[in-house]
Amino acid sequence: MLPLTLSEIHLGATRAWENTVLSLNPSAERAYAYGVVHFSSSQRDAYDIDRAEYFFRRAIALNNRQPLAYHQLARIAFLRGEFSQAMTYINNELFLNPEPSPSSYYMRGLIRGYMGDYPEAVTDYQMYLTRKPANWAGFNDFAWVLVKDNRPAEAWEIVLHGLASYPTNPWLLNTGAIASYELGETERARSMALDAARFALALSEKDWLVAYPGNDPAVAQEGISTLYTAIMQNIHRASVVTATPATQTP
Amino acid sequence: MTSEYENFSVTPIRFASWIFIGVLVFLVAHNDMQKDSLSRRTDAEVKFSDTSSSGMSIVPASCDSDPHYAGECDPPCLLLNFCSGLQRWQRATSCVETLLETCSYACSADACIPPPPPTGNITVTPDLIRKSATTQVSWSATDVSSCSVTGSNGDTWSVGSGTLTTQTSTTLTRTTEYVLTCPALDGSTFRDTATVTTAPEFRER
Repeated sequence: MLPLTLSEIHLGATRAWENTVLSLNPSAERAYAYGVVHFSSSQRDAYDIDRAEYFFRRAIALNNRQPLAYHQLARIAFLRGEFSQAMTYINNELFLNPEPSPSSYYMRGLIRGYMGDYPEAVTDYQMYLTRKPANWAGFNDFAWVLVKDNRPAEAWEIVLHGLASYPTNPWLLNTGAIASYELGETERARSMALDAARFALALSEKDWLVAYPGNDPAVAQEGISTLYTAIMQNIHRASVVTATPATQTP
Repeated sequence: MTSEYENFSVTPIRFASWIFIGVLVFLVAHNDMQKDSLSRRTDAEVKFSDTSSSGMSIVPASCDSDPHYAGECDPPCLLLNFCSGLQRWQRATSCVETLLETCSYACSADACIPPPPPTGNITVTPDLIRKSATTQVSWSATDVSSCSVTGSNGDTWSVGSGTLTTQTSTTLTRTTEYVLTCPALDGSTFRDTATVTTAPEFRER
């Protein structure tokens, strides 16, 4: 189908321009910068993960130590669900970059968490939070891998730490509900999950894209639904346990 | 002397060159558009919710996995009412905060708490005296702004709070009623009374 709108023609012309400039004056920094433009969830029109990948690969071809280029390839592989590939990229980034970004540890913790390697993921989140000790998503995801590693008491401590600064964050409230449930505090779990639902209902697509940068803006609504559905399931589970009377022996 | 611009004219060759360049840009754009439709879907993270050992659903985030948007990793501003001292505020999704009202008594759990109804009492000790004796008048009240006590014999005291207060009456020659009156925090007026009785005198004949 032919491009019909002016914005599509403009986009195509911009891409032709990027190709031309990079061919005439190749540089790893420029290739990386073009990749970033196409990998931003805040730029709906320019978002193109394949094109971003192409530019990050060009950047590495031009300079194997281009800071964050492997990191970005890891993010792309992660979004595609190619976790082993993502691990290879993020390890390259941490090995080649003499001053890795704290985000690279965050990214490796995330990949390891998705792969089910929780003890190692815990280590990565500890490294990340040592460098950036006030990020709400860092608290949330650290608590996630602690819960998965059967350490709910530690997860609860981390959630409390996060909620002290972000009391209305639905992710943190939901994770707090889960840690509470795992600790046998079902009434608290139910109450926190209800709060999480209340605040999740107020989330906009823009809010969700802040929490999940790099995702296609077109799927933000699906992401909000996933969060809300998870919270509702937790409310149900906690409510059932709270309402069930203790078994009595005759 | 004529400039280059004055000599400029649209020749058929120039016109054809412009058309050629225009078509070239169009084809490159079109080619990229076609590539777009082949982009692989990337929703591994979008639909992911993990489960705890008890089956609860956890949803990790990935904010700050992008090193370029750390500043945008701030949590979303949600529509929220909250208390700050006696003031009740609303935070809009734009993160702008607006003062809704100043509570008269207390602000808690996003709402103004009304003051409780007043309580208190007044007593006289002893409540039976001989003529020309005195008595101790005591009173206290809660959730009031001030109190005053007035006796039917003309005694009056006033206190700027409801704390326990004791005063000695003037000498009483007849039964006297003391009235405690306190404006309350909820807008009502608290009232209580106590009576001291003078015993009749008996004389032998």
